[in-house]
Amino acid sequence: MWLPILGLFIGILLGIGFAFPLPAIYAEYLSIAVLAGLDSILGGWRAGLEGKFKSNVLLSGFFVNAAMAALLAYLGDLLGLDLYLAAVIVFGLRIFNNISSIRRGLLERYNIRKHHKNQQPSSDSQITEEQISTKTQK
Amino acid sequence: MLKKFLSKLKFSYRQLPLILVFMAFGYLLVAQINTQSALSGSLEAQTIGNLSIIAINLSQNNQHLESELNSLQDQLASVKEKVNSGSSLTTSIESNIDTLSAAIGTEAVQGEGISITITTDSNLLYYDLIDLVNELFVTGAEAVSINDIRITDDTLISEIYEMGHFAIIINGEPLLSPVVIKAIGDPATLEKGLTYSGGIIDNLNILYQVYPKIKQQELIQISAAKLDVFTYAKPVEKEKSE
Repeated sequence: MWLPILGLFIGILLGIGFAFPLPAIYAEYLSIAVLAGLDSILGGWRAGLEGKFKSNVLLSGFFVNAAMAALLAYLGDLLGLDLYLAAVIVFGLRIFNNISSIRRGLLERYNIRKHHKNQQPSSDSQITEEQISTKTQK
Repeated sequence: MLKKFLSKLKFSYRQLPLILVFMAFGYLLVAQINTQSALSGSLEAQTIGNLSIIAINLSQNNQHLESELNSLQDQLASVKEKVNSGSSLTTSIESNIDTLSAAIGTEAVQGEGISITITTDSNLLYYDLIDLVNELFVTGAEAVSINDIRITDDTLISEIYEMGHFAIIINGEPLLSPVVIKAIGDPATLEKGLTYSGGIIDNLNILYQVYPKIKQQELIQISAAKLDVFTYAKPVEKEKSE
């Protein structure tokens, strides 16, 4: 759990240390790529809570979604269409869906843990991720 | 060592893609924030109110600079004018000096006029010369000389008694024969002024048997007189009317 956060910090430090000057016209594409990346990360979290997490899906999803979102926005500019807005709406909806799923998943996990604690107070309270996810799926 | 550290962090290679994704996300996030903050400082990101304030400030600055430019241009123009008037003043002063020098005889002059030659064996007296010179000036002569001595208001024409006869002197110098009087002016008028019937030449011819020969000339040169240096007389200062 700590290592991805460490990775995030390293990324932030890299961004501060090696900031590249981005032309203003590409700012829109980068913003949509960030939105897509956020969606992928939240989707990955959700999948983890649901026990369906696959690292290659997250990795490919993150980069491909980000790249495609930026490309879509660029294409929209070329065609004179605000495809950028379409991407924003879609990713926004997905992000909120993912957040609500994560919230529900976390609450369920919390409830199960509480229930488990009450039933077997003497037993080992440590539950593996897999056990939780199987319980969640049920 | 590294393995121990990684095991302490509960590192597994399954987490590697996750770490990578988070790193990339962190980097993109910072890049986007940087870009956005740079953009928000740009004019495009300003509100209409801010833009109008900026425009007002810029136009005020512009007006200020324009008025400064105008005043500086005015200054430049006035300085140039002063320089020009200074040079024109110098020119007018120089031309005034030239005119005055010619008038008082301190400048050699030339021009058309007449010459009057009086030969040796004549009964010429010094007041005949004075009459001639006066007649020439009256008829418009601008410069007159007798035997290359420039006649000015300071010239003394007189006679002295020497060796049993009178001799004419001009400025203390004895006048030698032949006497040549040169005058610059309109030749016809000058000649007429002398030769009209009953005029000075008639008188000289008839009464004193002096026969001056008058000749109109296209170019007469008259040398300059010596400049008088005033030792005692000083110009009276004009009262300033202020």
